[in-house]
Amino acid sequence: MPLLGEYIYGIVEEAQYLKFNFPGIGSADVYTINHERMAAVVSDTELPEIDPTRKNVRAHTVVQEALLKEYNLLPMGFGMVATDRGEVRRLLEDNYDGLLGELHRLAGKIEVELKVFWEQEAVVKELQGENAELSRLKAKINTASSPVEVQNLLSTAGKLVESIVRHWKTRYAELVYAILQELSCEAKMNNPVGIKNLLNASFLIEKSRECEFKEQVYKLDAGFQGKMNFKYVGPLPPYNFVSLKLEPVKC
Amino acid sequence: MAVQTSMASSGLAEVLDRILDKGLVLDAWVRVSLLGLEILTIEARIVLAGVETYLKYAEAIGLTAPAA
Repeated sequence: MPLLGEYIYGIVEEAQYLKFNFPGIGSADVYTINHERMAAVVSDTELPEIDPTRKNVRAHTVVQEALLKEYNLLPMGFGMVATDRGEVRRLLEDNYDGLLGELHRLAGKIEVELKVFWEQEAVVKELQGENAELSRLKAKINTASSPVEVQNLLSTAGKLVESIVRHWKTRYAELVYAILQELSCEAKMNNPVGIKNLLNASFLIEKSRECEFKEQVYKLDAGFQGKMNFKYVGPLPPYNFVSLKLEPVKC
Repeated sequence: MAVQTSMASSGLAEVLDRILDKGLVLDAWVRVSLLGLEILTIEARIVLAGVETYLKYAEAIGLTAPAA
């Protein structure tokens, strides 16, 4: 017999049992398991393991996006499965006050994410403007006699790029972070993704101030005149700002 | 304008970076297949050091070793 489990998408404040009209992981029905004023949003699953495939990840985020339109949502991380409905109910019971407190603390707030990347041409332009070193290196690379020499020259050129990038990081990216932090309830720096990433940050903002926040992002971008690319994602559930340690369910 | 805005990230590694180990997590309930994960996130989380980093920076502005 297949092991049945309950895949959990998140926790909302909802006293009524509801069945939603959007599908979950494996196209299963999405519904609530309630305890007093709170509900866990789940779908049944027979999967012993949840693969982080595009399809499964999309199902997880699509359900959360739909919930976020109607509710304040405490998002569960991807791939969380309880053994049965009773276990989910006990999670709600055992963590009731903590979850409710967190829902109220985050009420009316959303997460947005901003990534800033340096623009290749702008860095090259700045390097060429400063000195002729880059052009000299380029010429040498084309006439170098051995792979080792090429590698050394490339490494030297890379060092030049790195110094510019480090400079931009402290001068521009940190400024962007500080200005946006002012408009936020909370802010958090994440690890950079890739070599071109100057800033990877998450902000918790009042839903009502999202337009203002976005306008500020556009304004900052315009001010940097093509030096950097901005990538803005939101609204998102507050993944980075939920700060509740769940009590393990007692059997 | 160089601001790209969207409701959701397009890249899978990018989304996973947000939704794994973040939000509410109950260790006993994690049922993610780890094998698939390593392949997906290795690129996004790779940390480079020394010469390797400089070569990456050179590559990022279009400088690579000429074809032999």
